[in-house]
Order: sequence, then structure tokens, then C-alpha cells
Amino acid sequence: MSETLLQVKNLYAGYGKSEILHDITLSLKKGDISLIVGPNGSGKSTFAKALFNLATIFSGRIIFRETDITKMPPEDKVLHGIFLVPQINNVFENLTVKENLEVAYYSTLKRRSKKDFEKNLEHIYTIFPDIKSRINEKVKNLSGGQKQMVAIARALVVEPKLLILDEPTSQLSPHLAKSILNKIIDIKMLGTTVLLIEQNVKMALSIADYVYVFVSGRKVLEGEAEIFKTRPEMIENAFFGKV
Amino acid sequence: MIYADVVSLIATSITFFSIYFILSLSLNLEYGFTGLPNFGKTFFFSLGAYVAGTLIPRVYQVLFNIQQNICSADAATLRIQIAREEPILTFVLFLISLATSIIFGAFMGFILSYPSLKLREDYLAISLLIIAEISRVFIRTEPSLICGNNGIGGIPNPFIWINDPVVKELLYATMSVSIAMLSYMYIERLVNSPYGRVLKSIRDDELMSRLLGKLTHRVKGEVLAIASALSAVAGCLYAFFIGFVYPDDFIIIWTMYAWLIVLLGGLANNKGVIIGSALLVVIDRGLRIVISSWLMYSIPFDISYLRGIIFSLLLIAILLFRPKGVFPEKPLKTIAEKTVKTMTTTDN
Repeated sequence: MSETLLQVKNLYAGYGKSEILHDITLSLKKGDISLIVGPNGSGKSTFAKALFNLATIFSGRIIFRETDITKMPPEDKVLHGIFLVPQINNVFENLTVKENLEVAYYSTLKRRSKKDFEKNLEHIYTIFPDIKSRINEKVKNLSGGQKQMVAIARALVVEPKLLILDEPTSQLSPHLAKSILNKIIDIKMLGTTVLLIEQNVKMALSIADYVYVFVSGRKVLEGEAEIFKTRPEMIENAFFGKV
Repeated sequence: MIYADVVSLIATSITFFSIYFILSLSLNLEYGFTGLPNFGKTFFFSLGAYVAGTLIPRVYQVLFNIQQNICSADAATLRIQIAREEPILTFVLFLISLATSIIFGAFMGFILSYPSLKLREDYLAISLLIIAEISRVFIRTEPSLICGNNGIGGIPNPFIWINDPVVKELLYATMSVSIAMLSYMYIERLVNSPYGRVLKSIRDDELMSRLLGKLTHRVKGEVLAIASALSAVAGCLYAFFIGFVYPDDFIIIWTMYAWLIVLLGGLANNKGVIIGSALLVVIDRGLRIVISSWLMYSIPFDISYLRGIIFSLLLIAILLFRPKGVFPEKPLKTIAEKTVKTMTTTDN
């Protein structure tokens, strides 16, 4: 049985005084691609933000490798090896691709060597060969799919233990979306645990190991991805409140 | 005589170029690189002048037991006389004022960063603008610092002991431009380091920068402190050059000059600031000559408005036709660039 990397226990969270997430309990296994799906307004993105202390946490606990990180500021979570790629505005448009990668890699809080950066860059080039030819170009000149690749590559350059991807395919064509999801499998092969938040259930299900279904801020269903692959109507029913 | 006038004009222009340059360089660090719209540049600039105006006369009063009122013209004349006879002391006091300006400027920048940085960009700009205006009114009405509304004179040029006024001006210009170039080298080194990338990341998206583990509030505080210290240096140089500190000298125009230079030269490009400052000085000095020599009686409105009109038109033209300035922003020259280039060229 594989080790649990992240545990969320009875989490209630939202914005200001408004509660969006109600009693969320889940755990992510090391090395897995865990998928959170749900309709619009189900609290998927709020959950990602709550993990990073960017939403108000009313009660509950978030434990990462036996450390309570519930109230930890976002910048400290990065040092612990958790990395979030938000849904939108996730790249620095006026910086080049290389600068985007470097700004993530070099940290005042943790010393990292130039040699390791080069090594990581080689890894990134194997996963995202498109980036290589445009390394010195400003990100604002790239296409939507390439920007998303830069956002994910930037996360990989610091070799996170847990990578949280908030709807990485939301603004992409089906072809590009599929390509991004294939990259996520490559990332899993590197040993990174991935929490994927998606609306595109069918596509995301094909790469997931474990699935959580959120509806109206509650976790209504969970299980091995294999089960849902054979019985996708279970997720559909959950979306429409037929659990 | 004409030769002396020309040299004097050049020396004065170089000194003003240095002052504008240091002030604009600090704004470029704040806004160009970090995205902090500081509309209170006048305040931080005036701090350096107030340090000189507060410190120098009091030191002279104490050291030389001057009995006259510190604000009086007699005391100012005495200070100048003593400064002429004591070159080493004059220069040391200038250096002490400069160092105090740096420390005080940085301190005030850092203190003000606490309430200011919690504000959104537009509110930050308005708040700093108001702070600059309130400080001017306060200094104007508070006689104990620089004699209130009357201001204070007798701030001796560090080279006042040199009899030839042209040599004196040239030396001051050389020193000012040296300080400006040192500031340039320091800021270039700062922004071309990994720290510079962090500044740009904060400018582009502060939340994303936090998500990359950057302590954005601390970095913004440091930037305000560094930039305020530089602005105070410019103010201190201005006070020693003019020899007089007068609160109504520190109106919003200094902030506007800095913005004009940065927008003219190019945001986040310090080379652009050199060009912007030089252009401003050439236009400013040139206009003074044109106005005083030829246009004095031939234009149908108050000529003192002409400079303002031309600068405003220039600003509109820049924003319309070259919004990125003369020198647009370029990627930083940080480490790993060579490696990346080698890696991309060998594989392609």
C-alpha cells in the first residue's frame, strides 16, 4: 500500500464569511494522479486555493507528510514541495520563458545550484520540446497551449512533491488538451504526485488513478478511476444529484 | 567670458542631469521593475534636502558658536564664510549629509511601505501623492526644522573654498555624475540578478509570485527603501547645489519630471533613463536660453508656462506613438543564459 502524501480532514472553507466547501475529507497517495471533478461552482478551485491558504479556512486540517500546513503561508508551502498552477494568469507574460523558469527555481529561502537548474532544464525539454526553441521569447508571444506548458514546466523546475493543476485544459482545444494531459502522465513518471482539477471528465479520467467528485462544495463520490472508467454514468448521476 | 558662461552652463546641465537621473532611476526600480506607482517621489526627494537643511546649519551653530538666529541671513553668510575657510570640514559635512540622507530616506521608505503596500496600485499612487503634499505643508508651517515658509540658506557647496566659480561648478558636476553612475551600476547589478527577476514577477502578478515562494511584501518594502534612499541622495545633491532649502521647491513637478523621464526612456530599462534625463535637461536648459534670449517679449502668454506646455505635449506624444519609450524592456542578463543558449544551439 502506497504512502499518503496529503490528508485533508473535515475542511470547511470559503471567502470572507461565505462558506463554499463543507466537510471535505480526502487523502492523496504518493505517486498517484488524483482527479477532482465537478460542475461549475462545485468548489474545485476554492479547494485548490484553500490548500494554499488563499481562501478562508473556517475549520479542518491539512496535513502534508505529517506536517500540519493548514495555516502556513503560500510561500512556505512551496518550500515544503507543494506547487499550484492556477487556472488563469499563471505565467509572467512580460518575462521570457527562461526567466519564468528561473524565477521559480532560484529562491532566497532555499539555495539551489546552477548545475541542478541545467539538469532540470534537460528534463523539461524532454517533456516539453516546444519550449526549447522558444526559451528566450517573451511568454506573451506564445499560444495558449504553450503558455500552459510554460506554467507547468515552471512548476517542474523546482521538482515539487505535489503538483496541483487547476483546470489546465480549460481554455485549450481538444487536441491541445489531450497533449497537456499526456504531459501529466510524463510528470507522474518522474515521481511527482499530481492533484488534477478538471471539468473535462472523460479526458481527465483516462489518466487518473483516483477520482473525487465535488458537487455544491461537498465531496459526494470517490473511488478508483478504473471503476468510473467502466461506469462513467456514476459521475454523471453524481453531477445531477443522483448519488 | 562667453567661454566661462558656456562651461558653467554645461556644468549646471550635468549636475541637473545627475539629479534627474538618480531620481528617475529610483522610480524605474519602483515602477518599471516592481510595478509600484510611486507618485510621492517629491517627498522622498525632499527628505535629502531637508536633511541637509536641518543638519548643516545646526552643526555650524554648535561647532562655531554662532549666536545669530539660525534662520537669519547673517547666520547663513557666516556659514558660507566659515565653509570657505574650512575646506575639509565643508566636504566632510557634505559626506555626512549624504550618508544621513541615504539612511533617513531608506528608513522612511521602509516605514511607509508598511501601510502603503497593503493598498492596490492606484490607491498607493494617490496615498504617496498626498503624503508628499502634506509633508510640504507641514515643513512650510513648522519653523523649527528649516525655518518654515522662509526656508533656510547658507548650505555651502562642498567646493565653495575654490575661488574660481567655473572650476567649483565643474567639480560639483563631476562629483554628481560620479554618484549618478555609481547608482546606475548598483541598480543595474541589482536588477540583473535573480532579485531583478523576482521584482519583474511581482510586477506581472504578485499572487503568482507568492505561489512561487517569494516573500513579495518584504521585497516591495526593500525596493521602496532602496529607491527612497536614492531619491534622498538626489535631493541632497540638489540642496547643496542650490545652497538653499525652501519647502515650496518640493512641489509635484519633481514627481512629474521623474515619470516623464522614465516613460520617455523606457520602462524597466535603465539605459532609457539616461537618455530620458539627458533629453529633459537639454529641453529644459535649451528652453531657458531660448525663452530668455528670443521669446521673452514675442509670445502672447506668460512664458513660464511654455516649459510645462512642451513637457505635457511630449508626454502625450510618447504615450501615443512610443508607449514603450525609446528603449523598450529587454530580458535580464542573468546567469544560465549562456548555458541555455549553448543547449538550444547545439541541439537545433
